[in-house]
Amino acid sequence: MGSTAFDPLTFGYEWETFLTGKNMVPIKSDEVKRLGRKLQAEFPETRTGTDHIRGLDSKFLEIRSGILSDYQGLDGRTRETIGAIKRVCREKDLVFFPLGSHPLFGKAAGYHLHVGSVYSLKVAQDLARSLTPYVPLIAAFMANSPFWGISEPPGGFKSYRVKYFADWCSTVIVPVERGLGQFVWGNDVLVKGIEKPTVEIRVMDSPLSVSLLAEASIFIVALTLNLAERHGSGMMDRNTYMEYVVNRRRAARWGLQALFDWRGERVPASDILEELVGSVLPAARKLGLDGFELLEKMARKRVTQADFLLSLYDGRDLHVYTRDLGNLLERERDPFADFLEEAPELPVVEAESAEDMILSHITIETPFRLLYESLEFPYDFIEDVVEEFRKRGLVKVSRAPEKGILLTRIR
Amino acid sequence: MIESVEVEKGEASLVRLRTRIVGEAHPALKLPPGLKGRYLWVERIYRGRLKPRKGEFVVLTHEELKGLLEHGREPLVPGRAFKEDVDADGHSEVNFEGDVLRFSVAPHRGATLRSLEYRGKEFFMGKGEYLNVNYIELGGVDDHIESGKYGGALSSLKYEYEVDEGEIRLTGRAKGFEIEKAINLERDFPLLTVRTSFKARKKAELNYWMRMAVRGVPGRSVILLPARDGLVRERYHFQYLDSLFRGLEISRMSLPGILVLDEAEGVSLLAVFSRLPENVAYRSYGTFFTVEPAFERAQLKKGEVSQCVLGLIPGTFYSSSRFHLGVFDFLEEAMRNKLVSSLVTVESRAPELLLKGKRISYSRIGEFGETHLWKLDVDTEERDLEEASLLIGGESYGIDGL
Repeated sequence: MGSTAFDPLTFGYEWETFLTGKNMVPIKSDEVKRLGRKLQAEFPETRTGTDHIRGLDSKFLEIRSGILSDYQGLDGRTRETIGAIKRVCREKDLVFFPLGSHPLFGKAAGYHLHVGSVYSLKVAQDLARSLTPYVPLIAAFMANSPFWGISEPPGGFKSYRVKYFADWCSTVIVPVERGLGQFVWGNDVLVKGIEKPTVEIRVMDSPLSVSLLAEASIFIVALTLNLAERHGSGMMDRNTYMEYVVNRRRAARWGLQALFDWRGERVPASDILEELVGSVLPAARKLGLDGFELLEKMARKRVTQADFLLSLYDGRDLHVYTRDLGNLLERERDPFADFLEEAPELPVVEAESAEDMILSHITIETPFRLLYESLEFPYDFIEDVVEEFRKRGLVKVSRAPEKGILLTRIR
Repeated sequence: MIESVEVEKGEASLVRLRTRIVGEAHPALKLPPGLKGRYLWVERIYRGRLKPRKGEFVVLTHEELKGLLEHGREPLVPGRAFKEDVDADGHSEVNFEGDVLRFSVAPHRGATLRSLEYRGKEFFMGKGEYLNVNYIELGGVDDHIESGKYGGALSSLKYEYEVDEGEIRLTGRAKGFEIEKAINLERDFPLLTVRTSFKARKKAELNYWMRMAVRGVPGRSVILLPARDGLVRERYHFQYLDSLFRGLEISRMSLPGILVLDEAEGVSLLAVFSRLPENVAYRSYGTFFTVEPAFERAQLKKGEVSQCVLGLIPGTFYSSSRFHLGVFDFLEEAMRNKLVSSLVTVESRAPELLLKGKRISYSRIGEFGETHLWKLDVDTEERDLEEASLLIGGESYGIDGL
């Protein structure tokens, strides 16, 4: 591919954010649309607008950076836009609430980064393929959705959004072989070429820290640049793919505390991040960023924004907590960066095997479909594991003409 | 809104907040009258930076508001009916207690049948799932006349009501209709009847459907839907994406009823409707599932009335096919062990229970449209039911435990 893949190097983001009333309930779609139009008029180079929140009669305020080329532009434009949003929120008694999920409603809010300009779809596909193994790491350090209404326990996952495939808007990548290119909606990394000359990384939770947003964006752009220097493979290696799929789940659950399967070894996600931060720094410098201060600290302490949110939660009523959190985010400039200074180091957590992940999803007459849709592991992998469970007497397998395979856990 | 803050320092700060009540924490929660503008001191413990400041907003819990709310039990019919806020939404529900069955209805919120408790098992009450910007699911059975959208006009309608011995009658007006509901609890038989009538104030189309939000235990709750091509059995599994993308819809019902089984607690609930629904939808959510029977649209002239009756009957044993649904239970009464059973059948001849070699006939409670509702009670022991069977229209059916 080489760095000539980019003609020229550009990037930009779409940042889905909640706008709520003073009761922390997302406001009506029309009000969000009005604010979006106002922001776009104020910053014409951006494309800020709204996006759909699946299952909710409201919309995200989607902050769109427009086309950027360096860190200064990214940071400056973001802070200007946030300043304007917060001003309007103060005037209208609204709360700007950028989290990966709304604690009360769930709902997946993402941060999508486009890297371009790549005019060859073949090259874009190779780039997407090269980025695939790094997706779980990106999901891990951007985890920011540890709450998902009352149907999930707080902190059960550091990123419920990634667990739930961002309401099917950031799903496990469907491998496409070279020569058989197709547009596949919703992949964690999306070849956007038919619409925009970019590769879009969609796995990130919407961040609450503007500083992290800027650092993470430059990190990913620099990583993409580094990967473009290498020759991409036309095929997805099975082991690499399975590592990606399983690590993705671990990242969703444990964030930077996760232990990854990495090139055949067990390696802490935090170690991989620490190493990469060093290796992408030269490319980041070319983009105007001198160091990854936050990412380095996060890697060292294995702490994410999700850990920050959980550190504030003491089991009280979720609505009470959400309102108090809203106050904090309105009051403080970058509470996550401050938290990082004092946060304790978290331990690496032992990795759950793919087999255990599958077994833990089987109860009574669990449809195979549900198992697949909960994990998005390849069909044949699940089938092989289930057959092994059956042989070991762990699971009973039955067939139902309307529902397909049903699995019941025996012990 | 916080008017002032007092802090006692320590590792965790005890914070006293002087708050002024400015409104609802969610549009679906209605502030009890007289609360807006009132001041309230609240004591909370905060660790670190979450501690609120003057001028900021906080959400008050039901516990914190208790001092300002009407409280305790207010008897309506001694030993039978009382008012109490059982779902902690700040408003009193009307609650009835029978020998084995209890229920609550929320006149302030669409006359929703909020709670149904049988032998200590609650079928409906949820923990309050925030489903939409204008709807919190608390569980129960409510009425709808807007297509496909829950939490519509009827859900928030406030009803007037009267209570007597075993019945509550509620009246409300919405969308061109006068609505009457009568909810009746049998004294010595576990049957709850909900009779809902819509009287058109002018020529109108009635698009009536009800939504039953039942507490679900993943893997252990089952719903049985009798369809013309066989009994459909759906097991509740929480799958987040299910509620977003799909539900099961059956438009080929053979009986106007469903059976909900809770294998975790060994209880079943028979729901019978007076009309065959046009279709019944099933959807799973985080902590509950919904069953949504929708009835054929009716064109009503001015003054014309359309009525739908829902019968709810719990039990600990059940029997089912596409032609019948039934529940069974044992009630202790004056040192006797009484087997009680209810059945809904397509067959018009009386069903029989074959018990210890004897045939015992069911007696008719009434006709529910094209189907028949029956009941039986007989002195016997639980072990006798193991060998028992049902005889309906020349066919024999087994009785299952949970």
